[in-house]
Amino acid sequence: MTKYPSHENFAAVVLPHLDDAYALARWLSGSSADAEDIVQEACLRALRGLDRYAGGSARAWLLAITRNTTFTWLARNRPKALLITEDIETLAPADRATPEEALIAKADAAAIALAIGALPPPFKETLVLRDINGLSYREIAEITGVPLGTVMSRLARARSLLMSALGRSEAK
Amino acid sequence: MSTGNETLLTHAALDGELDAAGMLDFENHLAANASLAAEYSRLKALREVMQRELVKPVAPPALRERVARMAAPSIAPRAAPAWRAIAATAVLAAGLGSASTWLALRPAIEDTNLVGTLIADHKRGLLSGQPTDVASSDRHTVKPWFASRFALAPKVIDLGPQGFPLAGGRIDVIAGAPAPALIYRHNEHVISLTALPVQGSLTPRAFVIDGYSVEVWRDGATGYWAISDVDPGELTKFRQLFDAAAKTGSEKSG
Repeated sequence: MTKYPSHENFAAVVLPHLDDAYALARWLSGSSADAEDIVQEACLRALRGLDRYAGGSARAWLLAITRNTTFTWLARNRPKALLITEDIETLAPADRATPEEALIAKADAAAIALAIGALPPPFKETLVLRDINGLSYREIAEITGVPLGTVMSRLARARSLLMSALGRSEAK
Repeated sequence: MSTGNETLLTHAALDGELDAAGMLDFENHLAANASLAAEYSRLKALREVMQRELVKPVAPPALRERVARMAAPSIAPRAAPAWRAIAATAVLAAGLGSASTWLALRPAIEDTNLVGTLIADHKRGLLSGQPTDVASSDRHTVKPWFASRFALAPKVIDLGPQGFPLAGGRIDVIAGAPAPALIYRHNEHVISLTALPVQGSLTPRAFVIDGYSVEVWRDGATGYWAISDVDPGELTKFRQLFDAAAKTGSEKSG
């Protein structure tokens, strides 16, 4: 079979999902400048790996590359951002005092951003992929390489931590 | 239902990940369990406030430009396909729908082992339990879905009234390039229909290989490959219906 220059399809496959990739990198890195560098590197990887794009959702494919690039980029350039507690899945729920619905509804962008930024990376990426990028559980499981059940428990933990943090920030 | 499971199901319900039966079950639990209902309301409040307050970051134009430029080496070679597209459009304009012009934007395909690849894609779709990337019987959903992924979308025709309802679309990779495939259902069977540009000759034929019925036909510059595990006779009927609908332009405005 003829091998076509991968550039032919690069723009068609990657560019429509650039905002998604940028949003993911932006939330995971917490910095717009870093996100630009990360997405550019992710797109280079995508270009080199376009031959291996196995069909399916181009968005999920690009987000998987972006997610992996983000973590290698952060490990290389911002090692402190990735400091995480071991055995994160088994941590006891941090704060059972869940705030009232009305209190959550009053939260503003800054408080939410701060709360998301404070989430440990595995919870943060699951939450962002679901609530910012709008991916399905199955897609998130594939991208993050964990079982569906882990995706579900991480998402539950992430939202629970988020609600507690919003309650605290309002109480101040 | 254990408490842990209930929590996970609450999130799954909120995220639209439960099927109809699961949702019904969950709603019964919700009605009978006040603390679960409160948790569900809090989660809904959280989602609403996130949707209200958070603006999804948009890639800066400079970044978009840099990424687009990564594909720059293709600008010169693309001149040829673009020219071909214009030429093809002119030819096609004679009688064919404009929906076919997308085909000219990608290089023509060699038939070598093509059927093998298409059967592999069809099987992969079935094995993954998810034969479609976009699941919809509404061609007004499927067509834009393709349109957002390809420069020009393929012809999308629903044959539901004739017993072959459209089930959705899928992106396959043929010779290293993404190719759109339409997915139809017939009783309990799945039919994958791939449309590819054809240069030179393509012999219309029907055969059975590895237990799969295959129908190959062409409509102008478009070659069609239908793969399914239905009886060969049924697939022939599908081919006739699709071909007739394509020729009478029942895609309409698509």
